This record gives sequence, structure tokens and C-alpha cells, in this order.
Amino acid sequence: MILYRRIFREFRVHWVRWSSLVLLTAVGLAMVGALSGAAFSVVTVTDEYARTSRVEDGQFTVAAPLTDAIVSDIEKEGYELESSFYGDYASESGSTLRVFSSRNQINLAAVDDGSLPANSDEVFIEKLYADKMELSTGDKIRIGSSTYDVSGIGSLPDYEAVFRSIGDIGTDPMKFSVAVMTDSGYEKLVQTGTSTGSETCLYAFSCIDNASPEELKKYLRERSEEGVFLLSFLSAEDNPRIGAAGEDIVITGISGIVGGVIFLLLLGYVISVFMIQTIDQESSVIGSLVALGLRKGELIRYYIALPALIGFIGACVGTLAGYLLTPMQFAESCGYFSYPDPMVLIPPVWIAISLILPPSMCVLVNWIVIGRRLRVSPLSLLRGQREARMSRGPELHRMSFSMRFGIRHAIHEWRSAVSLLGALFLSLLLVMLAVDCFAAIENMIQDNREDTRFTEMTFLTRPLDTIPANAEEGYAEKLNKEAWGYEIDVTLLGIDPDNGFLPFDLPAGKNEVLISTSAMRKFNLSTGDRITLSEATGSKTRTFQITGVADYSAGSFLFMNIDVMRELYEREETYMNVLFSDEKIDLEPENIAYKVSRDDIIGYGDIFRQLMYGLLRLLAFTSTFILITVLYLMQKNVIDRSTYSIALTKTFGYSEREVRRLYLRFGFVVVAVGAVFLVPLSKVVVDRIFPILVSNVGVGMDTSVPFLTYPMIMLWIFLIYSAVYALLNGRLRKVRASEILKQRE
Amino acid sequence: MRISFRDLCKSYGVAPATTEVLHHVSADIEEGQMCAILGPSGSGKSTLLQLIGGLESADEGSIVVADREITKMSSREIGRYRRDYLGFIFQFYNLIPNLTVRENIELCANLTRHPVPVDDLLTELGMIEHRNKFPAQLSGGQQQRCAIARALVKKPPILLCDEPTGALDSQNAREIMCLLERVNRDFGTTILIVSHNPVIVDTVHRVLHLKDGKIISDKVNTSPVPAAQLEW
Repeated sequence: MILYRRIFREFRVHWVRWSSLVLLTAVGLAMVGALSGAAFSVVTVTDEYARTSRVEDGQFTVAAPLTDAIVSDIEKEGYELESSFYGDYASESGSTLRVFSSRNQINLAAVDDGSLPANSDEVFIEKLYADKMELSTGDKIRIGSSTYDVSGIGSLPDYEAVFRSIGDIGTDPMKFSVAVMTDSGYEKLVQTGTSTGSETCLYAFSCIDNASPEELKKYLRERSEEGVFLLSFLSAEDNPRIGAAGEDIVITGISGIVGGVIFLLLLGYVISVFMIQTIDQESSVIGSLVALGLRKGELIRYYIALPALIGFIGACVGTLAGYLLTPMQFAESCGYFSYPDPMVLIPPVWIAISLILPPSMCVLVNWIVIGRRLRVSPLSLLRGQREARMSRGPELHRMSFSMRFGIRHAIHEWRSAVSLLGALFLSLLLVMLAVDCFAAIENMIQDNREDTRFTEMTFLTRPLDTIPANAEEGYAEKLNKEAWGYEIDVTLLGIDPDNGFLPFDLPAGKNEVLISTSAMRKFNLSTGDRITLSEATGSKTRTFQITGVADYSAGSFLFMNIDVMRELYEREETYMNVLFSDEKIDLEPENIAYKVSRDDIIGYGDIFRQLMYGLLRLLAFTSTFILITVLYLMQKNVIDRSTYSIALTKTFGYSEREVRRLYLRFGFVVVAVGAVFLVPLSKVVVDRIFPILVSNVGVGMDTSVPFLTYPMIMLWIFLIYSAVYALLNGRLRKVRASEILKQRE
Repeated sequence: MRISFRDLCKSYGVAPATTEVLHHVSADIEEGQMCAILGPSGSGKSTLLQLIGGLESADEGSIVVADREITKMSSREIGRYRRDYLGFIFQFYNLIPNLTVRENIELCANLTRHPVPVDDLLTELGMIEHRNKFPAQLSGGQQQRCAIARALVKKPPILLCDEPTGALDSQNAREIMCLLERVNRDFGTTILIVSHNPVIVDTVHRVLHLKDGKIISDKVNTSPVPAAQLEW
């Protein structure tokens, strides 16, 4: 059709609008692509890493090496077993290196550079450590009292999160990392006697067929009489060092998808507004074409072509940009974890969706909008429906002229006002997503600092005969509760009513508990509700009545009277398995299941902050860009449509300032009034969505913000509007009085 | 207010395909004169009016209004000039559709400190009962009255009318001409009327005939006929 020749010309005439739409689509898709692409790539890479490196199904430590006979018996039970002994040694700059003997069957190292050690004077070091210490393959490194050649750099699958202890929350490569030597090299190192502690006899295992870690644990305990003295046992599922990166980045991925949905809605909205304007402007042309015999379908196809093309170009640019930005997102999200460098692995179906969805959205929206506009008769189109549009209106008396003008203008432009508000709301959703992430982190840091009164909370493997001085006892049972599809750990903690570290007014009833603020938020519960939890084995459930809320944010806890709890679980009157203390307590290692320190809890917030900052920056940038673009496009649209009346006022002698006041005040009032209502509304909406986004996090997040945040966001909107205002002012200046000679409304 | 233009030239289009619309046009319109500018389509009459109104800029020549050279004015000064000296009346009324009759007039009333009271003006023009209607609810004649009221409300010394009767039937056209005649007589307003309708020549003080961008005749009418007596 000859009409299609107009497409390029239309683009040239309204290049600002169409280019902005390309840019808007590209930026939105780049954000979605980078976030979800990074998530998919990291999950894919770490899954593949786990498979190729034959990551363990579990590990255990024993007091002395197992005999060949016992190893053989374990293997006959359906387990593959490999010793992975290690010792901690002082290294460069005061850091500690955990050195392992070679691994051949389980937890195989992934080599990024160089190779695994072949000689006893070579060592393979973990990549984050190498990076911080600026070590490369071929460099020399001092471990203990000897010097080694760095044969290779990479990662170990059982140390994806390089925690020194299982209970650690933070990692710091400057302080602790891991390394691997040949068996002979390791033996020589042990013989130097420079280890900072005793050698740990660790065995990693993989389950074959239907064997399970629980059965192995039971089996090992049963062999205690044969000298198997089990110090610790940890299944891969419970090991926070394994699979950490993939679990962490899931939040990023979900944020990307939510952002994508919001963005697509916004895009559809903006495009529909433009198309309504185009159709209105071309009403008489369309009427003429219909009168000349063109079918509605042909016209719709023509008018859809450019938006679809624009959507497709934007999609191509955005998908490519997302692809290119994905590695940056890896660094932001997962630079904290140690795993092979991920490649950008975006599945073809995602690329297809990314390329198809924006133009499809353009086609769908325009099909609806144009189809509705073309329902009227050709004669009506020829005459233009706009004439009849303003034949009624409210009677406005006793108001200044400029006020009446403003109201009439707003009524005339109500669709633009709705569009402006819609765009503002959708942009604010992205902003609030960033605000909620920020608030959740900062509140967690603050609350953890205030709520954690103990220096250490130690979970024990067995009750102590005597409670150390300056320590208090507790009794904990691990239970689970399902939330948003995830099994969340909930600790039922029995404490003395006069516990100085957790000073809560405990209920006396048998099934009565206080709920921690964190659990309250996580499960959306309050005083008076009942909570049902399942035991770790999944065989039994327990229901408790919540009688109050305890100010404790560092985990999902239920607190009850320790005596009541002992009775409930039919334990001895003195049974305990938790120790709270305000100083470090030296206990035999075999007594410690794990420790949680106040520093760890506070440090956890800092790590979370570090992990989320990349996401926050991306959300802040994208929402600002989208808001500027959309505010500008929508307001420019109003100016374009009002060109005639603007020209007319200029013809009458209105100064630039007066014209600005008449025509730009509309946008300002809409944005200002909209901000007052939409800022709190968007916060409420995102607050509802946010728990879903962090559903895999074991604690409930407090997303409340100080009241000052709202005026600050409004100020941010005002600043953005000021930038847009300056652009619009330029646009307004370009409308010449002589336009009146070209147009007639 | 006197309007004087000398050697005005104006072309449209891009070289080499330019069209010269005005070619060294000169004339002096005396204060209080009602002057018709006639000519066929493309003769340059509307362009001349637009140059005087500051809506277009001349390629060459000068326009002096109230002893001020408007071709050398900045856009801000041009705006001031239009505000203080000019009233515009267009063939298609150019009313703002989302403002009522009264509000359309107030749009211009706001530009001066001492406007004609809007209601007085509407009463004078027989439009008072339509003051709260929107343009779409009015006939063509009523819309043009509204446009005239809008132009007059700030008491401009010069009224520029581009085909003011071009879209009206004979009855309404006569009434509009009567109105312009009264404005000229009562306020001493200098009025320039661009028209292709030769009927109006008898009602004005002076007639400039344009053809192919040049003034081909300049006639002074010492005894104009009242517009009410015109046969359309």
C-alpha cells in the first residue's frame, strides 16, 4: 500500500517522540534483560558447576581418620566417600588459608586460570582471594613457613560462599579463603606444624541410588563403638556454603520480571496515548480514505506498522543492551561468591519473548485503540469528532480567568492527565521497589543492632553439665513453616523468664508463644493468631497460640517459657541446647553445633546491603529515566495537541512567561497532586508485593520508612519535573504565532 | 494608528523552487482608515496581513506602525506589539473549543489593564445570552461575533481581519460588516480587511488591489456606503 511510504516520513516528523519510545523500550528491556539474564545465567552456571564438579551431598568430620574397612562399609551402604582433610594456615597479609588435600572424586575444583597443582611445592588458590591479594598463576605465595608457586586460580563448589564457619554470615577474602595442594604437598605442610589449629578430618560424600544423608548420619552414630567419633555432620542442603550464589540471585531475577511487567504496562499506556493523538490529528485523512474505499483492516494495519516497528527496534536494542549489561550485573550480584565466571546464558526462548513482546504489545494496544476510533462513520471522521467533544462543561464562576483556563484545559486534557498519572504511578512502583529494598536493609541493620543483646548465641550438640558463668541457657527446636512456596526455618526457643539477653514477658500457657517481629512480618501474623509449624522430619505438626510480639528481628523465632517447652517436648527438667553469653565462651568443638555472634548478625546486614546495591542503582536509574521520558513525552503530547491554541495566545500578544503559565501549569498541578496521592499508594502496593520478592529469605523484612522519605521522593519528582519543564519550555518556545495559519482545531 | 509599509518582499519555499508572494509592495494606511485588501487567491493579500501582524517576517522592506519599525523587532517585542496594538479576526474564527464564549473573550481581556467590560461587549454584540456556551454550540455568525468581541475587548487601535465574512452566509456577513463599520466609526480603529469578495469595496475608505504579489490599484473611497445597504 502506498500509505506505507509515509512511515519513514512520519518517523522523521515526530522523531523525538519515536526515538524516545525506542529509548524507553530499550532501557526498560535492558533492565529486565540484565536482571533476569544475570539470574538465569548464574543459576544455570552454578547448576552446571555443581554437576561437573560433582558437588557433595554432604560432609562430616570425625575425630580421627576412618579405617579402610569402615570406608569400605560406608561405600557398600550406597555412598561415595572421599577424604578432604584440611588445616588452617597463616598466609599473606595476616589472612588465613584453609588448605585441603587433593580432590579427585567429589567437590572438584573449577580452574579459571592455570591448573591444579602437580608438585608438592604448588598450590591452587581461590579466585576472590587471588583477586584481593593480586595474585596470578606463577606467583609465589607464603603459607605457614613455606613458599609455594600458584599453579592455578579458581573455585571450590563446597566453598561457593567462602565462610570460615558454617554459622558465619559474612565473607572477607582478605581474612579467610581456601586452597588445594597435592596430597604430598599437603602432607609436607602438615608436618611443618605451622597450622593455626588441629587438622580436621573431613569426609565428603555423595549418595548413590536411594541412600540419604540422614541414613548415613544414623549409620555413623551406630559405628561409634568402632572408633567412629562423629564431630559434625552436614548435608549439602543445610550447607550455606553450597549453592549460595544461585539462591541469592533469585531475588534479582524476580525483581527483573516484576520490573518487566510494570514496564510493559507503561509502554502500552504511552503508546496508546500517542496513537489516540495521531488518529485524532489524522481524523479527516482517515475519513477521506475510508470514504474512498479503504477498509478498516487496511488502515489499522497501516497505523500499527510504525509503532510495531518502533517496538521491535527498541526490543532489539534493549535485548542487546541487556545482554551486554548482564556481566555487570553478575559482578554486582555475585562478585561476593566464588564460582566459575558465568557466561551470558540467556535461553533462546527468552530472547524470542524479549523481541516479540514489545512489538506485540504495540500491535495489541493499537489494534484496540485504532479499532475503537474507526468505529465512527467516515463523515464523522471527515468532520472531525473533536468539534462535538467540548459542547458541555461545568459552569465556573467567581474564579480568576487563569484558574478557569486551567480547569478547562485540564478537563480538555483529562486523558493526558490520566496518562501522566498512570506513568507516574508505574514509575513510582519501580522507585518504591528500590525504596523498599533500601528500607528493608537499613531497618534490618538498625533492628539487629538494637535487638541483639548477646555477644554469642551458641547452639549445642548436647546439653552441658554446668552452665558457664555469665551465660544463660536456652532450649531450641527447629521447625518449618511454608511461606510463598518456601520452607522457612522457625526456631522455637525456650528461655528463662528472667533471661537478660531476651527480656520478654513470656506467656505461661502450654502452647502459648511470643512471635519475633521478624517472623510476624514474614508470616503476616499478629497477636491472637495461631501458627502451625511442621517438624524437620515433616512427620508432625505443632500449633501455637501467639500471645504477643517480641522485639527480635534477627530471625524467625517463637519464644516460650523454657520449663513449659521442656514439658511440651517431654525433655528432662534441666535439658538445654542453647547458650547465650555476653562474651566469647570456650567450649569443646564437639559440643558446638554452630554459633551466631552479634557481630555476625550485624555484619549480615552490611553484606545484604552490599549485595543489593547493584539492584538499587539499576532500579533508581531506570525509574528516573522512565519518569523523565514519560513525563516529557506525555506533556509534549499535550503541547503538540494544543499548538493551535498556544499559537493563538501568542498571536494575541501573550508573553512566553504567560503562555508557559497557562499551558505548563497543567502538568505541574497534575504531577504535584498525583505525587501527593501516588507516592503513598505506590508504597502500599509495593509493600504488598515485596514479601513475595524476598520469599526465599528466612526473615521478615521491615519496609517501613521515615515520614521524611515521602517528601524526599516528592522532591525527587519535582527535580525530575524541573528537568522536564526546561525541555518543555524549549518546546513551547518553538510554537510560533504563525502556526495559527496552518492549523485549525 | 498609521500603518506604513515599504518595498515589502516575501517568498516561500526553498531555492530554486521559491515562490515570490509579495514583490516590493508599499502603501500607507492612515489612522482610522478602514481599508480593504482585495485580490484573487495567491495574490499575497493574506501574506501582507500576516506581515503587518508580525505572524511572518518579511524578506525585505519595512513596516512602521506607531513610528516603530516592526521588521526589526525581537520576538519578545513583536509579542508586545501584538498585545498592545493589534486585534485579529480570522475567517474560521479560531475560537478555543474548550473555553466558553465569555472565557474566549477574557483570554484577551486579560492582556490589558483597562479592557472593555466583557458583558457590555457581549450585550452590544447580541451575544450575552450565549456567554456560557462553548463554540461548538454556536452558529458560524455567532462564533465570528465572539471572535470580534475577543479582538475588541482590549481596545486595539488596529484590527486585522482575514476574510472575516468568508465562512458566513450573506445575512451574517452583512451583520459582521456592520459591526466592523461601527467599531471603526465609534473607536477610530484602523481596520484592514483581507477579502476576495468585491462587494465590500463600497463600504470601506480605501481599497488596495493585489495581483501576483503587487499592488495593481490603490483607490480611495470618499463616500463609503453603509454596510447595511450592501447587496450580497
